[in-house]
Amino acid sequence: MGKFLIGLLIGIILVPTGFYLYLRSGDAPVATWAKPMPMERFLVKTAMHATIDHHETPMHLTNVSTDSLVAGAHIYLDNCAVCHGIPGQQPTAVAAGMYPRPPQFFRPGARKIDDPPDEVYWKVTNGIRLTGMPGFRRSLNDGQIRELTGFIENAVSLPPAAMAVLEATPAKSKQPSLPKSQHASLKHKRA
Amino acid sequence: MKKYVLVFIIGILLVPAAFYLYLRSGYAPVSTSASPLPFERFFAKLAMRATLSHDVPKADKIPPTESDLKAGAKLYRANCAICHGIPNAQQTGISKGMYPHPPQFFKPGRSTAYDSSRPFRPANPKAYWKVKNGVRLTGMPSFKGSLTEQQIQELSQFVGNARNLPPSVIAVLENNPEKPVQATTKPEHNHHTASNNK
Repeated sequence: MGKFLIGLLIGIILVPTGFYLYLRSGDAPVATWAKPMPMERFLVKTAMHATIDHHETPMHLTNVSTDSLVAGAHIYLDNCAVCHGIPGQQPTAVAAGMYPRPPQFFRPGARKIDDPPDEVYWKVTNGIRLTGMPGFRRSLNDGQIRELTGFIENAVSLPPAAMAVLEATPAKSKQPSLPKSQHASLKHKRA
Repeated sequence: MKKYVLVFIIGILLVPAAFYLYLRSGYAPVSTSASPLPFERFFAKLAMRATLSHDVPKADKIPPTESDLKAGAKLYRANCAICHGIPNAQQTGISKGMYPHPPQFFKPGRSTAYDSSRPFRPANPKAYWKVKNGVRLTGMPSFKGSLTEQQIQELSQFVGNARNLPPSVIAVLENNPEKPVQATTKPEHNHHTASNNK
């Protein structure tokens, strides 16, 4: 019995030790362009889907109005476009260099996203740690997050009024730009 | 002996199985506002330090000039400010909501008074490595595909001197919201396709 336990313990201790030595070696992927860690995607997706299934608030999108899509487009431009893209424009340097890569909602040939609305709502609200995806619960209110969710679900079939909001940004500002609130505070400061 | 080896293997398998079940349970931290995974910071820092000591970053040892810092400020404004902040502006929603939190180089309350008697510091080699290669699982992008070596150098010089910047450099940060620099994409990527949705 004593031997049994010792064998078990040694086996248990060996795993974190091996992992520690792997990280210690300097060969674990740290740069964003390196190859993923063994089983990284599998473990991460497992945790994400388990958590979202557990905690999501049911949300149904019915008849999203054009006004709400236009509002969603403004919020998207200020908070999401830097990483998730704008129609007809190349990804920013920020988006191109991240790991994991942020999904590009408007890349040529993009299809409707797979995530149901409650999942999008959860991700926007809570963020996804270790990906760069922020949680917006402290900076957007519930209504804004709903508008954004409706916008993202309809990204491939937006009405012209909502497209116009995205395209009104001059081509040069496709680089990361600060949200409007910051511009406003800067102008205010200088005035 | 056979039995011994068997338990040993069971022990080894037990660890990933428990970790899998933990992730599977829905209680592992996924939201950016949750508390970190057990040992997360420890393992992440370990890998970061080991990589940096392995792949020694090369950065200029010559201290930057004021115009280098201005160039760095422009690049910073266009590529970094959204997460790492600019003086006297509130933190963006993006920056507030990320996990790990991006370091704020211009925290309110931190002095940005310029002391001209202090010499500029040469580029920080670790900052250089991070700007160039990015840090996976943090949101920090790699800019090696979109900025030149020289630009990465200027950025790391700028960041290393963030606490002692001359007013001319601060002015570049504060006064440019309408015209960000065209440096984020390489020319060959930079075709402006007319939108087909009009």
